[in-house]
Amino acid sequence: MAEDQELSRRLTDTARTTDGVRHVFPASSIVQVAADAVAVQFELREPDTLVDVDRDGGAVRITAEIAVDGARPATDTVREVGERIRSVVDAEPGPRPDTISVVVRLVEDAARR
Amino acid sequence: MSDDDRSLPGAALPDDDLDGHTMDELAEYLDRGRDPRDPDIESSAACRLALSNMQRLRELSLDAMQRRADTDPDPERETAWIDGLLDTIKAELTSGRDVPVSHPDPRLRLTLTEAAVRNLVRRAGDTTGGVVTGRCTLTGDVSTPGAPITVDITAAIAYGQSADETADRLRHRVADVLARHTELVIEQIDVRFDDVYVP
Repeated sequence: MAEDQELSRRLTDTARTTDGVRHVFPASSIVQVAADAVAVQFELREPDTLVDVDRDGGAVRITAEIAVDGARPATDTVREVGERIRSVVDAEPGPRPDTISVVVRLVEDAARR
Repeated sequence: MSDDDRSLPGAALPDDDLDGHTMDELAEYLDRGRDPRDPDIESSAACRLALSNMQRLRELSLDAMQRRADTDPDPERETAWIDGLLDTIKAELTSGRDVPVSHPDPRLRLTLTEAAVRNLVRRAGDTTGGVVTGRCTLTGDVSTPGAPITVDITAAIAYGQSADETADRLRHRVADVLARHTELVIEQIDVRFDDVYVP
């Protein structure tokens, strides 16, 4: 759905620009990730729809997977990402998400990328 | 030793996939200084975890490896040790269980993966000084907030270091790092030194 892609793009940007976030990993379906990877290869751009927006049976689930910087407590960063995503999706028309999942996959060394 | 010689012996590892990549590929990518940037590798949490660990292992052990290879009547032991560490690192890349982070809003489900926590422990160990971390295991119900857990660490200790003092330093460092980045309740940190290396 085009609206969900646009929402995912905004949520990906929201996660990326949160203090302490080093990287946003694809949390989308395999098909979507593959399609985005092809687009990225041809257009030489960063993938920008990495936060998953899943609507199933009337339920709405948002999932973001991130790498965070070890210079800031991972608990602080993951809370802030969750709260910032919540503020974006709650301002959207339509049903509010049932769950907003944010997963820290990696805490990276402060001095490394 | 030339820069070309500073490769990890990744060729000895089986070609298991890491989101479609192998440890050999990652070792070569690290050799190239992660340049040019490979977006496929950089977009994989497992690959980034592996790269982070391989980089630290490389920094910790290469000088010692070379010194021992020059003098040791059995230099292959050194390669076997590094290969064993790489196998352990690879085995710990699986995301594993969810480690929750609390939030008053029940709609927010915030977690760290078990692999991310193990990596924190490994990094804490490797930066303690006089220690190269081997295996790290979290024992207990890490997915239940407040449940006490035990951290089991095996490590190699630098020759000449006091085992008791080094283990205490390692325990304090790991406890500090886990308190900073997680809400885990650490009941105990068990340290076992299973090898000695010449720093």
